Amino acid sequence: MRPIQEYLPDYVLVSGVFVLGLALWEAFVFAFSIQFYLLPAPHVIAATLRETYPLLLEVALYTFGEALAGYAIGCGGGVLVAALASRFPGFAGVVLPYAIASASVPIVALAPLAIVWFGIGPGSKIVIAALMTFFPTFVGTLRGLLGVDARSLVLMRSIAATEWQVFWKLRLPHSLPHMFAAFRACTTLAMIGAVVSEFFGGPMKSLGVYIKSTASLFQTRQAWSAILVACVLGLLFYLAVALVERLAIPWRVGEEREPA
Amino acid sequence: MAIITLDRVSKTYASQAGETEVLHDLSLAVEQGEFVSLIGPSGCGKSTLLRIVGDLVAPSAGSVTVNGKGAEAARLDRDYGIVFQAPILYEWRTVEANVGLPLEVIGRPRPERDRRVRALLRLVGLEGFRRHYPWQLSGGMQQRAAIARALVTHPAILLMDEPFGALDEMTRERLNLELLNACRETGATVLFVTHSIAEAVFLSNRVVVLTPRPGRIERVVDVDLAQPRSEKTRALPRFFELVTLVREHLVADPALTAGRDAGPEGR
Repeated sequence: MRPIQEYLPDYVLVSGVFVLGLALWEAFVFAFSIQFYLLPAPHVIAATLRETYPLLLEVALYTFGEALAGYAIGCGGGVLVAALASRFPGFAGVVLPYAIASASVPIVALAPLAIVWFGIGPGSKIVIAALMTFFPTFVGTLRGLLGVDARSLVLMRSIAATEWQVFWKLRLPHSLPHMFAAFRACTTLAMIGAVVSEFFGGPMKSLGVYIKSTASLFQTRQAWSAILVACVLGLLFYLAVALVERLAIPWRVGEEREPA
Repeated sequence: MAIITLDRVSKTYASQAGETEVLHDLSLAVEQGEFVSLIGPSGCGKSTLLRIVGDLVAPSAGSVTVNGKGAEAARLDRDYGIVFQAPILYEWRTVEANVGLPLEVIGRPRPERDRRVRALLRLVGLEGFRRHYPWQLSGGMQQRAAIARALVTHPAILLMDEPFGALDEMTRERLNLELLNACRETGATVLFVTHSIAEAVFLSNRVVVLTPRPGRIERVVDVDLAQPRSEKTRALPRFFELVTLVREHLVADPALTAGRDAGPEGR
């Protein structure tokens, strides 16, 4: 039998899997007569979304704003500090192991402390999101800046380029793909940082607080619809960054094609 | 008048295993407008010699004079262009941006840059590929772009380190002719490192044969073939004689005597 990929385009298969998943979920809830407060069926979540979406949108955009602010600070700071560190390779060598080790530190665990330090408002969430995005961006960018091929550096020396020119014309463009890989991964981290921080306290109209309070009142339908909105926002965030990546790194587009 | 003068140059590399002398007390003068090839067994230091002239490696002893000044001053004055075995094109730059890189580094204005890049791309036959990225080009085309980049600043001296070593024989022969054309048009003096005897004889005014490590000059062969060289040059009896002469001085290298590099009988 021919594999199914040969006669159906990818997007049909992908959306088919989505629809199939929803149908299985619906059937599962129906077949075992599961109470809606334990696991609402998809059609119930859809109905709840329709009823509450103005509120949900407001709540979600508030949290997204925090995530975006933290993302901008964390990623921007990561790139800047990496650029500075690349000028002082000795310093970079000392700092890099710690930055890499920070990947295994659960920074969200600091969220309760962040509230103690920066208050219940958006500040504490932005700090957590910024911390969570800073280190991956710093590590990725620095690796890109320092990982240039020795031959490329010899070429720069042969045309008597200054250190500054080596940075702008060689190190930085070489680092762009590394940077964007980090930027993409950080979209998810920023959303997680903001939402989870809100679990420990925040205004009523924020995603984390909304999910936590509805869930604790067994308003599972509302919690699920909020989770769904968070997923969609996170996905759109990721796609937006991926789109910018395509524009910023045109030489990578279609690289898998055969050379002329 | 000599444009490159090497005076009793030696080079020793130090490592844990001890010191390795790759070049020993080597002197050589290259005249203005000359095409000189360096050929020798693997590890004889011919690439190191080229890099010493280009101020990419410092000699352990002896001195280098380029265009009447030290090698470093010549590099900072952009007196030479260099082509390596790998094209070393930056993947994020189009062909024209890669070729224009040296002019950008010097800070030449945009219109002048565009004009010269175009002229050079025409010279190496890549005018139709200005906006291509390096990965879209074949190996031979990439090396042409590298040659255009080396010539774009109109350097007095072209240093070439086995530039065609990674290419197939057909491409290599075509690029040999194109290189001679390009050099005639720009009037550059060329110092050329190669593994191929035929290539060295075809291109050069003089072929400098080095000894096994530590490299010294074994013999300088004057190539008295008529200029300009053409496809017909490769069929002249004198061409074969010179190839044989160079080969005789290279017997110490098993890789060469095994016929890995194409001599006349290999074709």
